[in-house]
Amino acid sequence: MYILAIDTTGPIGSAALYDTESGVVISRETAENRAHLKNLAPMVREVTEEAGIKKNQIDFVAASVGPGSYTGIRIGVSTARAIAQALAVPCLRVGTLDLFRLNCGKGRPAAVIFNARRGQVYGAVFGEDGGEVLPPGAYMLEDVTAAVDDEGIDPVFYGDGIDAYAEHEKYGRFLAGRRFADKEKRYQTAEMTAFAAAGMICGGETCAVNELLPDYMRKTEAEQRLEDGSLARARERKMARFIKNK
Amino acid sequence: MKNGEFITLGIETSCDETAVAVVLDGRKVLSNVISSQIDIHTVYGGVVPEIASRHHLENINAVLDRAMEEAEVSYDDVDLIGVTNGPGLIGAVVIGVATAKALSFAADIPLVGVNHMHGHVSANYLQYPELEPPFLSLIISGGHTSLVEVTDYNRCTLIGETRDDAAGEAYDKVARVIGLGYPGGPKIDKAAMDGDPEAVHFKRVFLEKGSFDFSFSGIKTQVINYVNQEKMKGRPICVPDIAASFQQALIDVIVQKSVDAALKYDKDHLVMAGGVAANSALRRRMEEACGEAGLRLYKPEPVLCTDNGAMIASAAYYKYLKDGADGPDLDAFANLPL
Repeated sequence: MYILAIDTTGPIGSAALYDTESGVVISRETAENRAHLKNLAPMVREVTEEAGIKKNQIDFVAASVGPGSYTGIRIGVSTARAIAQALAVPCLRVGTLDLFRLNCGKGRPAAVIFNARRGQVYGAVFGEDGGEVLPPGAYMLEDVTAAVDDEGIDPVFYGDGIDAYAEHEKYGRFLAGRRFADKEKRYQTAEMTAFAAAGMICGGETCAVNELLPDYMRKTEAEQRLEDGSLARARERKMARFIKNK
Repeated sequence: MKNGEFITLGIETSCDETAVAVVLDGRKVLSNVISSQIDIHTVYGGVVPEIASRHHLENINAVLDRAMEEAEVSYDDVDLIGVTNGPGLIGAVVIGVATAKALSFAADIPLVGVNHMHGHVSANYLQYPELEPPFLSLIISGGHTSLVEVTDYNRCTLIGETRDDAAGEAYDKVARVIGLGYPGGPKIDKAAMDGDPEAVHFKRVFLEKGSFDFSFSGIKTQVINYVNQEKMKGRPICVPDIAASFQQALIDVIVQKSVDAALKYDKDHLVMAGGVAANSALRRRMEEACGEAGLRLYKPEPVLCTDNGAMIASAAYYKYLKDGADGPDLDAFANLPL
């Protein structure tokens, strides 16, 4: 069977076509900044053409649904949804942090950190067997490294959080002396998404188009501010200033 | 093709409406499904881009299904997909473009990116089968207030635009100041029906002689000053009177400049487009002024004035006939010139 997989959640945007019978994966990726929307459809077209299959031979559409860049997540997920809708095939909703479980192995636990700015990350820590040491979630960088140290493991770190924080004046110390994945292995890809999806198909974890939803892991800033009351206070202050100035 | 007629699917997600439509031969609406997010954004006092983007993604496939069902067409029947690829809230535009590109790939349908502003103008082709360019158009919405000379389908020359707030923005801000809330346009329009447009005089801002540009930030400030003065004097403010007087001041300028522009550019037709073109007072006053000036006025039904997929399908159809399809590398733009 053929799985079309998409990941546009991070710095690399990619598409992959995985033939589970032959084990062959054809993939394309782009590191062009802020160009995932422009490049994704051409990459999807290329992997399908190179595989020499017709579109209606695609059996499943898998998307890496986040966390990551909000807009990036939506580019991949909305593309996957519309392809699945037009082809009338089931979807696979693959958590982006979970992709790195596949990199675990003997002597290689994994820690994942995606940059969420100001010392924040979306992160997870997985043991040698891929089991959760720290479940995927939104954390401060130091929470992730504390979980690693509490467990007494020396994992390989993955994700663009390395690039953001390793040399950082304030947060760099949390990453000092850690093992970092090479650049080629550091980021989430559609190929990893396809492999994770294949495992999910075996587990019967497919979903319908309307269930293929992003996993942002954070409410929008406006929702947070509405809930904690700071939106209303800011609006009152603005209105008061507005009226006083006149 | 269905029964020999060209079928265009139009997708629009540039602000807070998730909209998909099916249009025949660029002129006849088979379905026009609009899922509005206004209720979601009202508590925030305006559209929150990130929230809009999240909702577009959740809604678009169901809206698409409904538009196809209501039009009784399948993807095999669709000849063209048109999608707004700017200008607009970038995170929102992206959802429509990604969806359109994916459909284009999966169902082998040509794709055309449409300028949202051309879409607004094209709403008129849906309502008036006889209307063809050239004509003069007033495009007036929450994001834009422009006078354009439409020389051909999807070909416009800008002859004037707002230098600060769009008309819709001025409505929203004034509505907030007088406590009517969001969205300001329809709320002020409604409140004004019970008010006296002569009750308060707000200065009309025409800018320098012969200019077709607009400026609306001054009117907003005048309203705020007036409200403050009245409050300081301990007098209650009459919301309907303020709404009616503000609206009249704005409309006087818009109507005068639109008619002057049509006459100066030697056009017989004046075409209204955009969300604020649904405003009842503006439509009434524009009708009177065009009558006096001997101009024929085109004003689409309110459902075609607000953002919708049908207008995008119409614009896409004419763009495709002239320029052909766009490639799979079509991108989305927050700013896209006319």
